[in-house]
Amino acid sequence: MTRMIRFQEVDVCYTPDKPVLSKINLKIDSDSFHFLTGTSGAGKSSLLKMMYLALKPSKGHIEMFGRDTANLKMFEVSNIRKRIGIVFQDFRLIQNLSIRENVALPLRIHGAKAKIIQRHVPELLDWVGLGDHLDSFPVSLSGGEQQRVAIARAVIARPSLLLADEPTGNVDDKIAERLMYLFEELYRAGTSIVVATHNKDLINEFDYPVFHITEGNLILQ
Amino acid sequence: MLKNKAANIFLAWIILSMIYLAVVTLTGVLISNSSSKEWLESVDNVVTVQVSDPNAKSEVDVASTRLETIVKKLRITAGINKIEIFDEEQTLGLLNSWLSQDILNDINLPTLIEVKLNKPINKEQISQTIGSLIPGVSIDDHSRWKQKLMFLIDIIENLGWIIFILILIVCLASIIFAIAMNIANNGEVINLIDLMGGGSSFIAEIFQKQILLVIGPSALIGSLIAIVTLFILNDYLVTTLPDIFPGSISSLGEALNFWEWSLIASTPLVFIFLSLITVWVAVVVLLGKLK
Repeated sequence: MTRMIRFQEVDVCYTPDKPVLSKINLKIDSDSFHFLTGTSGAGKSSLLKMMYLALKPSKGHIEMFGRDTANLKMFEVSNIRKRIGIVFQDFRLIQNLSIRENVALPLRIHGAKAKIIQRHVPELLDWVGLGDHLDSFPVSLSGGEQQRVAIARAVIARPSLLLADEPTGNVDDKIAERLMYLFEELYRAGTSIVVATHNKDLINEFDYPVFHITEGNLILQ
Repeated sequence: MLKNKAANIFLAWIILSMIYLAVVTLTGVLISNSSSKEWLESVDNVVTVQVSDPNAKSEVDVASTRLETIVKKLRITAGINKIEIFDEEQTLGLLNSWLSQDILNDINLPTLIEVKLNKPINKEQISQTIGSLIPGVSIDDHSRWKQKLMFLIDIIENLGWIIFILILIVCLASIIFAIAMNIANNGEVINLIDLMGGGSSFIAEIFQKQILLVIGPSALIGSLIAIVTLFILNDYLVTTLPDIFPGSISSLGEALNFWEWSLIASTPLVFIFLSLITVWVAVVVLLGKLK
């Protein structure tokens, strides 16, 4: 087990007088599964953004995969991001690309050969139950289907870490449960998972450690 | 992946037009350079001897005319390669563009002798040799107007090169503008790719492929249309103005050598190469400024 993420005394302030997050200390190791909870506006998305280096802390230090993120060069940031899969709350599928092309994108970024892409993409879409929609476009899919495509895209390149921001926010309970089983399969396959959610039923059903944000502070439950 | 149909159409037309102009300009510069060199070589070391009253009795030899005396002297003078005597018809042909037939009938035309020398012209020596022989003979080495013409040709050629380079700069600036528009219109997608670890290099490659698909065909078609235009223009001028543009349809092809035609043919390829470098640099710089 190796240390993947380490936050030390991290503050996030969008306005000078009121920090959103204050003195955040957390450690996430490899082969781990965590929930990240808190009320709306608590700072869950901000915490995840710092993990995929889209937001810099106002104070404190962040280490990702053993690297201090304070003064990374652009190519170093890209290299770290290649090890992270992100599932966005709003899916963020590219509308003018087919499902196949959307899911293939991370493999192209990694420089995978066309043959590998041609083999793996249909396999993974089959795994998430969308094998019949390879050449469909996002607009023709339901919310749950788009979310599954987003998950497939996030995991196709076998990331070490998967960050999911409210992945069940736009789907019904049945699909939400199904998505969580998908995350569990990924966890068992060796990917560390952090799922930000305010769905208490899911948290209770899937018994994993919970990081809870309350009044700007982080507590491990 | 990146949507920018309007900018791509605009870019395609700009590149087609600009490469068309660039190839026409470059061909003009090269033809001007080649023709002026050829012409200068033909008039180099050439003097024209004007003999007035050619048929009058020579002051030196009463058995000969003034013209015969001059020609005899020229034939035995060292350093002269060739002598060509213009007959009346040839002399009239030189002047009838400038003077009416009535005037030509009234004036006493001198006889012109074109003298090709072996060595660079020594006008003073020739003038002494010939001029002292018979009065009223003038020697013209054409230097007065040759120098002015060469100066004018140099200016036109330099101007041609400046225009050619400016055209290429406009093309590259248009590409940078199209890229900036593209980045602005596809900000979300570019940000997404960046979050997935596709840095500036990956995004620059995407732009390179897209731009190549737009400017590649445009540059090649623009060049082709330019070459066809020039051949059609050459054919028209040769047919319509044979006095000013003697030659055949093939003369344009023969006006330039293999390397000059290669330079013209490589214009779209060189431009495409420069464009791909420009795209790369522009994307990396513009994305760097956004971050």
